[in-house]
This record gives sequence, structure tokens and C-alpha cells, in this order.
Amino acid sequence: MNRFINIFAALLLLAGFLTSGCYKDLGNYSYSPVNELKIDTFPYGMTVYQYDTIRLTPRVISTIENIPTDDTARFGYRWVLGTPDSSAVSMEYQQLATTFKLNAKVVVGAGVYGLYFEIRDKKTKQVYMRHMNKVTVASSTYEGWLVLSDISGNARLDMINYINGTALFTSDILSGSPDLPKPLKGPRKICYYPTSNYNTIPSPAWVDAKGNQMAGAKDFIYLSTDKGSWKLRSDALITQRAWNTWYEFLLPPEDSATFAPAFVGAGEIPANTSYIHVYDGKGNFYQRGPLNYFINAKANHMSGGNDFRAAPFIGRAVNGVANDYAALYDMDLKRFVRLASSGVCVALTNPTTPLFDFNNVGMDLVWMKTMGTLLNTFAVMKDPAGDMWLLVFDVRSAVSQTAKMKLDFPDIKNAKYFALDKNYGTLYYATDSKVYAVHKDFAGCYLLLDVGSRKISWMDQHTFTTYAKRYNGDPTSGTNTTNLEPYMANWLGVATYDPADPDHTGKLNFYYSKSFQTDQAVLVRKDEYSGFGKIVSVTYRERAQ
Amino acid sequence: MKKLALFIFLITGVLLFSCKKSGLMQFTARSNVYFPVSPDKYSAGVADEKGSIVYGDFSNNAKDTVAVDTLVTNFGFFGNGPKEMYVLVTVSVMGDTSSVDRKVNLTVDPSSTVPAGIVSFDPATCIIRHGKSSASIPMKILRDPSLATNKYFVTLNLGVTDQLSTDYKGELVASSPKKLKTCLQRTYSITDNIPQPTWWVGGNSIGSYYFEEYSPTKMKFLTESLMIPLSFLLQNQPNLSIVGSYSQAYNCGLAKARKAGTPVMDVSLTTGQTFPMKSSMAGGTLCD
Repeated sequence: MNRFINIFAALLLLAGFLTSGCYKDLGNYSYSPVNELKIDTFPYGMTVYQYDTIRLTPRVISTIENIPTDDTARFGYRWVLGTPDSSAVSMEYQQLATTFKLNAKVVVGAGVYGLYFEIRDKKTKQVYMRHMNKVTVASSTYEGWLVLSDISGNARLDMINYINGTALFTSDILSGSPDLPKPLKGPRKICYYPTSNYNTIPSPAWVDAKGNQMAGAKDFIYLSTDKGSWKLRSDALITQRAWNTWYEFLLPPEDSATFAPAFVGAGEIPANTSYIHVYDGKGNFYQRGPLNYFINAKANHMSGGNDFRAAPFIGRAVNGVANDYAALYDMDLKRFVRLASSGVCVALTNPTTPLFDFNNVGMDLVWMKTMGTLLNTFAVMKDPAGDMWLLVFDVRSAVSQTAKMKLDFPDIKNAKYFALDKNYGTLYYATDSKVYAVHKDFAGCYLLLDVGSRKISWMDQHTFTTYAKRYNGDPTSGTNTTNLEPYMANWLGVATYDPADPDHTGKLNFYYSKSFQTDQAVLVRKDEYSGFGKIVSVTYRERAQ
Repeated sequence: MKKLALFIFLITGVLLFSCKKSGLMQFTARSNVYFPVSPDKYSAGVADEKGSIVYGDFSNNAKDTVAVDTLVTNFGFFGNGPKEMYVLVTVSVMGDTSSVDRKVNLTVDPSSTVPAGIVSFDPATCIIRHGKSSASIPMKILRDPSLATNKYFVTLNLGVTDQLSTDYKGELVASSPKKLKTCLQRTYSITDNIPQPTWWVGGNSIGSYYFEEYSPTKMKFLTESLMIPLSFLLQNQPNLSIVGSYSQAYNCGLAKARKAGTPVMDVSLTTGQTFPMKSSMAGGTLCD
């Protein structure tokens, strides 16, 4: 009986569910399709200059009604720069246009944005949207070589600006800073100086183009001239009175009118990203952390002793550890000393089998550079007889000496400029018109370049803080380990001018220098730029990619 | 057998229920527009050198803005230069987003004390865009000279439109459960004076440790003589390493002026008396 009841109940339940299908649906299904708009896809990305015009014509198809989609009586439009890589505007930075075709000036700051196009059907009220993932807004001072020229004794800063692999010339950048003295006499150095912490002294806060309150930045450009030194904002390369290096001191060594540092950092690069160094041109180095002011204590001071006159070089690797020692040269006692992170110097202890005596070198320092990729400091010395020497050593932690060799090579006594190859250790020296190469480990001296009647005014292989060996503006180049030639970090830069017209004939040439050992350091011509005055200093404004 | 009868009765009920004729149920609620009850910040901005409006967020970065019931904005946040300021008025809407743009009915309440012409809106911006459930509507404020000596209030009302209702009247305040706070009105006070950082309120504050007691005169000394950026001082949580460096600069600035025979003078907020500005303990004696 129970079994019968269970079967009967199950059948009844099933019948109940089936019967519910008879429920009369009173919904309104009298639908008619509305007109839809289909916007063709945009390219993934594009690059536009700040203050330049961006143009784009969308392709829009109306699905039902055969009406022109550029009819403003029927449709409304909106072009917006907003959040990149997003399907929604999210943050809106600039409304570019309310027309069908985009033809508008981009005023937002340099950076990466998304481009959004909306079309609104005024009849159906429906809005359709299409976006482009990346619009790179580049500025005329985005990334590239910063070239400081002497024009009849006055400073002019130009830039070779790289955007999407194209080099564009931006002239007279300093004219955008009305606080600078005019004329700005005596160009000395231009230095791109990124730091490991915000470089907030003196007071560089601002609000950036995306509305971020900037307590400062980690990278600045330091300009040094006979009239003083300033840091320039690394985006627009502008400065103001408050950013004079004099204001970086709590107790400035002299008054603001006469304080004109020879350079900041180690010439055209930071001495180290953990510290900011200033050399006053009178034998004094000052050192500070990015968050602190310079005080009056000099770095050229022996711990427990006195100040000494330091030569205008600091042997410290850009990407070295903050606690590493640096090398300074005491011009009075003609000795190398170690500069500790504490900001004062200590004497060096010679290795057990020294090649030379750190504490009594007996020569003048002509040029010095510490190359992180070679783990050594290279110093060119001049002895009392006028002979030139190369000393190679390391004082970062343990002390070692690698080489002491006499530079008995053609024209060496006329050498004015020196540079070091970060890959092969080749030492380049240049006279007024010729460039030579020598090496501490291999015999020989090669004449690499003769510029004839032109004169050389600057030479260096630039040290980049990012991708030390392979930088070329392309972040993916950091993975290339086999072919050094395409990357500008491996190029030797040589600036020349015509002595008959130095204000208008400056040129900057770059060469890839092959291996000294296997290819005699032969130079392979790469880039050439002109339009400068007499070039006195060159650095590279890098971009965090 | 009783169980069987009961069971058949229930099943029959279920079957009969399915024959019930029912009217079409309709969803009648409308989207309600409202001001967020407890905004923890608001955005205000001024034009940069190229004319672009650059907004920054102001939360608890100045003493005046702590009282979020009435949002206090101040031209002093931006220094002496800008002649007009924009405050983003945040408006939200309940329910799902819409595929069409929805107009917001935003009006100035007659109780507002701000003189006519100082505050305005561009009607084209009073829109909650398609796909969005909120909008930030720029309120333009002109820097009228009277703002330096007056604090004006402007109250904004949200009204009904074809697409948006105002049935969401308010909600109870979390910190005061019996208090109903309206969602249809928002009041802003507008002034033009030197703002006071929130970390510099009271004798035991961080600011007092690094710079001694707060005064507008001292703020002017820091920003104008020592050129410390106002935007840095108005950060809610400034980097104390930098504040420490500025404290050294502060003491050095005072020491240099003292040595030059022209000590920097301060003005008491409470008594109005003038006296030499005090050095701070934190700033040290480097320049003494």
C-alpha cells in the first residue's frame, strides 16, 4: 500500500510541475529592435606631442536606420583622454572634443592615457563607446640627450628628444625659465641626477599634470654655470629661484651672488644615486642625502683631521652600494683617500704588494672615473716631469690595485678629454682634433678619429643609470646581451665645432667602439646631430619605462 | 489513510495554485540621486600654467576640512596666484547604471550666503554619464577680494528630473545614530586665508614639535621666506624626515635673522601680540 502511495504522490507532484507550464504569461514581448551604432576598432596605441593636435576619424555604422553618423542633429559626440588600458574612462584627464572627427590640442602632461570616443543617439538616448588603450603624450623634453652649448660665452641648453625612435630637436630649453639670469654666462655642466629617494631639498614640490601632489621627484637635471647652479624639473626642464643650489645649503659656503658650483654629482652623471654631491670649483665637495640639506661640513675632510683641497673628481659608481667608499684625491698631499658614507674621509691602506703608494702618489690627478661595470676606478695622472700615467684601483670595500702604466703614447701630453669604455675597458683620450684608444691590459695605441680642422670640445661614453650597458631608450633592450652595437650606452660621443664659427657649427657624433683586443677599438659611425654652439657638456634624460 | 488524504489535499492545492491568474508585476522604483553622506575627501583644483585644471585631493590635510559635514574649501590651499578655483561636487545615483546620460538638477539654495556671481556651474557638466553611477561636477569659484575677510557658505540642492528622483532623503550618521543627515543638500564654505595643517594643531602636535606653536605668520615665513611648498605642508601625513630637514632650515632662518639684527617676528593667534619667533627643539642649533 505504502509503495502505491509513494508512486501516486510522485506522479501527482510531476503533474503539478507540468501543469504550471500552463501559467499564462502576461509579459509584453512586442519588441522591436532599436537602431544600434557599431564603432570600428581603433589602433592599440598612438603617440602625440603635448600641445600638438591629435586627429582621428571614427568609422561608425548604423545598424537599422540608414542615417549618416556624423549628423549632429541626431548624434552627440565626446572624445576624452582618460585612464589607459581600461574599457571605461574611470579617471578623466581631458575632454578633447565634442565633434564627430577628433581634431584637438592635447594639453595634458606627458604620460600614458587612454582615448575614449562616445557617440550618443539623441533619439534613442543610447550611448556607444570605443577606446584606444594607449595614447602616449610626449613632451618636447621627454627623453634624450641634453646638450649644453657655449654661445658667445652664454649657456644654451638643447635636447635631442627621442619619441618612438624618432629624434627631434628642441632648442633653447632654458628660455622657459624666467627666473634664470639673462644672459646666463659661462656654461659648465649639465647633469641628469636620479636619486634613490625623493630629492626634496630645496622644496621642489608641485602638482603634476595628473593632479598628483608631488613632494618632489627622484630625478632632476642640474645645470651649472658661472652665474650659479639650478636644478631643473625633469619633465618640463624648468626651474625657479628656489631651486638654486645655494638653497640646498643650510649654511651656504658663500653668498648667493657668488656661489657657482663647478658641477653637481660627478660631472654629467650622479656620483651615486644615494647621495647628492656638489663640487664648488675651489677644492671642496659637499655631500647630502636626498631628503636633507647640505650643511657646512665638507666631504674633503679627514676624519679627526683637517680639510684638504680635493681634485674635481669623485670616484664612485653610480649604482654602487650606499655604504661603498668613494675615492677623492688630495691635491695638497697628492694622495688618494676614501670618502665614507658618513661624509668624511679616511686614509687608505696600501695592499700587501702595492703598485703605487696611495698616500704618496707624487703626481697630479688629470682625470678620474669609477666604472661600475668594470669594478674599478681609473685615474690618469701627470708626474712632475710631465709624463702621463694610468692608475687602476678599487677602494669600495677591500682595497686593491690593478694597474700602473705609463701612458707613453702619441699626443698624450696634449690630451684634453678622456673617456672609458664600459664594456672593454678601453681608455680613450682626445686632443683638439684626434681621438686615440689605449688599454691597461693590451699593448698598442690606435688613432680612432681625426676631425681635421674642426676642434673637439667634449668626449664621453655616457653612463646610464638604467641598463648600464645596453640602454637605447627601449626597455626591451635590457635583455639583449649579445650585440652591443645598436645601443647608445655603448657609443662614444664626440662633440666638435668649427673654430671660425663656434656659435653655429657644433656637432655631436656618436660611434660604437669595437673591442680593443680583437678589433683595435675601431669606431663605427652611428648618429650625428648638428645645430649646436660649442658643446661643453652632454647628459641623457632617462625615462622610467 | 489519513496521511494519504492530507497529502492528496496538499498536492491538489499546489496544482490549483498554478491556475491562479496574476497581474503583471511591475518594478516601479526610480533611480535616486544623492550626495554621498560622509565624504572622506573632495577634490579642488586650479589651472596650471597652460590652462589645464589640475585637481588635488583634500581630505584631512588642513584643519578646516576635518569637519566634513560642511566641506570647507580655501583659496589659501593654492597660494596667492590663482584667480579661480574648481571644486568637484560628487553626486551619486542609486540602482544600476544607465546606457544614457542623465541630467542632474543642481541648484543653489536661497539660504546661501555667498554673493551672486562667485559660484557657478557649467550646465553641460551637470550630467551622470552613461555607464556611471556618480559624477564629479566642477563648481567654479571666483577669488573675490571679500573672501579674505569673509567666510561664505553655499548650499546646493538636488532636484527631481525626468530620469532621477530624490526619494533617498538621508541616512543616520554612524557616529551619531539618532541624527539624520540629508543626502539632498551639501554645504560648502569658501574662504581665502592661510590654512592650518592638521598635524600642527595643539601643543603636542607634530607641527609644534618641529616648528613650535602654529601661527599664520609662521606659515607665511615657512612658505615665503624658506620657500617650503604649501602643498607639502598641507599633506595629511608629510614625510617626517623632510619635516625634520625643514625644521633645521626653520631654526637656521631664525638664527640668521637674529644675527643680522632683524629677528623674525611672530604674531600670537590669541592675543595679537608681536614677539620674536621661537626656535624649535627639533630644529637644533646648527646655525646658532
